[in-house]
Amino acid sequence: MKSRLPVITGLSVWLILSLGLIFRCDSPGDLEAVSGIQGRIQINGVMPDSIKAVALVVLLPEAINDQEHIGAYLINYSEPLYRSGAYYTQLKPGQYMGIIVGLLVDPGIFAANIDSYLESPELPLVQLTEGVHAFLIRENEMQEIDWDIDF
Amino acid sequence: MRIFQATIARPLRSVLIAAFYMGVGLSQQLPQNQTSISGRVVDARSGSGLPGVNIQIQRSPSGTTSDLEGYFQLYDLPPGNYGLSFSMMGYAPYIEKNVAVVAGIPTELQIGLKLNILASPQVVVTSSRKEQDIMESPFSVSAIGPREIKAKAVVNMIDILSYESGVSTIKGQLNIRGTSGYTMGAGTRSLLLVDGIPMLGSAAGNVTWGMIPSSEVDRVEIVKSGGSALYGSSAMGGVVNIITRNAPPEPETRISTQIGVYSHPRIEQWRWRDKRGFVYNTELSHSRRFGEHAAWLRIQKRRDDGFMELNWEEALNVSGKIKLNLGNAHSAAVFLNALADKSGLTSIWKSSANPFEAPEGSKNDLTEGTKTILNGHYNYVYSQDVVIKTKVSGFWNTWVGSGADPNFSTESRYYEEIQSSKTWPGKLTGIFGLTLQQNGVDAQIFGKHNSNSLAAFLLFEKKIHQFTLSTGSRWETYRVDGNDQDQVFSPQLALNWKPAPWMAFRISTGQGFRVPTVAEMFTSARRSIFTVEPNPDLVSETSVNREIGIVLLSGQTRFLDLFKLDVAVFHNRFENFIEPIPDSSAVIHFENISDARILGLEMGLGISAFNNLLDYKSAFTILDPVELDAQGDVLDTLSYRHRYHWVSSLGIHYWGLDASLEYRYLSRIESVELFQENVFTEQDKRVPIHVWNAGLGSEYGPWLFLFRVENIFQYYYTQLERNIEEERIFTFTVERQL
Repeated sequence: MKSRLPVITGLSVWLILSLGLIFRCDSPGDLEAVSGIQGRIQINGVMPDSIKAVALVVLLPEAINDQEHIGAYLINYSEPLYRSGAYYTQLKPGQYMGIIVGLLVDPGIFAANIDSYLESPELPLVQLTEGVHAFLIRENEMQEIDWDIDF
Repeated sequence: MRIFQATIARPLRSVLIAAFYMGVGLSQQLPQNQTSISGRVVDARSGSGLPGVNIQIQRSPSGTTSDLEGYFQLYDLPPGNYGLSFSMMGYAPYIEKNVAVVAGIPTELQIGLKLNILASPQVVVTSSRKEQDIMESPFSVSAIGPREIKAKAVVNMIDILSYESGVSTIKGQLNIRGTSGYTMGAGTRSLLLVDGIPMLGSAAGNVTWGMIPSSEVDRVEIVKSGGSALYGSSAMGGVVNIITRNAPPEPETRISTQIGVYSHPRIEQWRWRDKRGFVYNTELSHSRRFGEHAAWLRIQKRRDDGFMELNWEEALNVSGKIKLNLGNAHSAAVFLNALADKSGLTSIWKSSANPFEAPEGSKNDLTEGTKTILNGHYNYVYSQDVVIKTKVSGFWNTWVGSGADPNFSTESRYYEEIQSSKTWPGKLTGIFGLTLQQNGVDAQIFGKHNSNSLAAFLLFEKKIHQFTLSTGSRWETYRVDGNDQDQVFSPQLALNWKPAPWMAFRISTGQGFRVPTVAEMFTSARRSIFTVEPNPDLVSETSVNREIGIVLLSGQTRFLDLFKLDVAVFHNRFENFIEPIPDSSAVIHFENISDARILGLEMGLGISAFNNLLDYKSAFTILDPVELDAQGDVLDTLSYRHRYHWVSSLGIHYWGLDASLEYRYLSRIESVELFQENVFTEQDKRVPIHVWNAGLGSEYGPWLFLFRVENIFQYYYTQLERNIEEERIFTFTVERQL
């Protein structure tokens, strides 16, 4: 009987706790193919000192009617570039607008304080492309768009 | 040779043996007032004698071990009925009940132990710095035996440790019960030892896993309770001790080849190369005895194309160990390991649309270097009660990085230790030791620095009937660049109560500490948009660990060959916890955050059943890792910790085939430091981990064949932001023993 006691006790405790954990387990859902926009930003000329880096900013189309609160429509932005190079940003399927902007603050400071910047009326960004580029992203689609910026 | 099996009525057997000797009137009869139990322990399958089997009289501190041929003898026992427990690494424990001892008549037994893959080493050396029955350890200790290591044929020991209860790794950084998290490779709270000697890098406290000769590992011991009182800084979260094997009695030559092939990514858009990536690993090892001495030598050549673009690696590793037996009182060992390696270098993926590719401009980044370890051990048995052990070690590491961001590092570490143990009558043992360590580093991102430490430790252990009481402390002083950095005193107190051979309770408390590494104090680097700046004002972090646990161990019952259950509840409270914290300027400093607490439950189960046909091993750990303010209120979840951790493995052994299936679950990391999830786009999404592995192996004479698939379902996840983890790989290993 003694030799069965630890087995019975242990298995019972194990079963109860395992069941609890199974119910708690997150369901499998791994990383999957994504959609978004990528390409190259070609910087021509000398970037002024006031511009710390260049990035693509993606906005919801509604931003065009509410330019006072543009931060509320900012969906994502690419990793800032200090010189010509490849850019990338992940987006869910949908209609967006893209503009190339110059960051007036250090990219790290912009990233670390993004929430407070988005709530303020003045974003520390300057538009470098004329107008906006509207594009449609489909499921699992990576759109390739190259940009030329002249200083 | 006749072997009594557990299914025979044991009491009857003992009486019959005693009666047999009485009947034939052997001359071995003892004087009327003396009695003894003698016998032989053999392998149940082969019948060959088993040396070093631990034989214990139940409810008594008395016991012995079997000799080289498996024979044993217990003297001066009062007449009566006894229970004897037999245990040995790799074999299921066995209890022989109701052994009848009659005055003047010797009782003789023959015991057959059954091989068992789950039977972990019964005697451990790490938790108390001396040999100790794992059931009598007052700390949480688990051990992995050689059969379990061989069954996976791993090249990197991390692949074994990742499937142990409470152990996880992020980018090679060891994490026991969530204490380390991920510190960008600049400091760890889990200490790695090889044969009892620290193996952490001198600047960052990192581990070079490629230097561990996995095929020459005898066993791995994992102490999960804080180990600072015995091992000092970096051991506050636990200790992993990898113990290399000694040469076997007969000369042995082994050739092993492993070929692996990576799958193309399951997601077509992620495919990044036309040809498949391969892994080639070839090992040649030879071991033999030279009179009383023994040695082994191993040469390993490895080429790994990598599962992602800059994950390739080439390495040549030569390691060897010489064991010198210099008479009855003296023994020594020398361990040498030299590694020359070259590998791609990346810290981030190209993008979530191309997670297996390297970022633009970094495709030629690589690092190339050499690492050498030379360890020496010398043991002197001064008397029956006093043993003196000394250890010396040197570690040299040089590497250069080339490509977009050229880099270099040269580091060295020297370690010396002397330990003396004395046993007094009444089962009291005392251990006293001194350690000295000197580190030097000259690296582009740290600068040129040196540090050294001096420590003294003292441990007393007393056995009182069913109780083992352990108390110890360590005093340690640190200097960095010639300036006093810190002086720390770490005491610990622990108790084990083993009321029955199949059950033991343990309770322990202790203080731990960790001195900031040179990397945490002086790193100056840039990563993506983040800058890491030095913080030479860092102070040591300290902890108070508390744990209570129970172990149930049963062997060879009707259907079960082995049953083991280990449950522990633990509470670790940290002060001045060091974590990398980005500020509002995106500058990362390693900072002493005010406080942290990790509360957890861990439960491990091992079952082997139906005459070793089936074995099942499973463990889960539930953690609550939080950052606290000065008032003790919860501020946030500690970053890079998995709250739930569950590992399971099922083995089936039939017709000479060994099949295995493994599963690993880790819940989604709740908090990270660098790239937060974008709720609109799901960029930098974090997911839970569900990974399945399978293997099929067979030993046929001198041949060993093993086929394994890791990450069967090609489950994709990250632990560190923007770093995808391993792709599915098929490996086939052939080993021939000459």
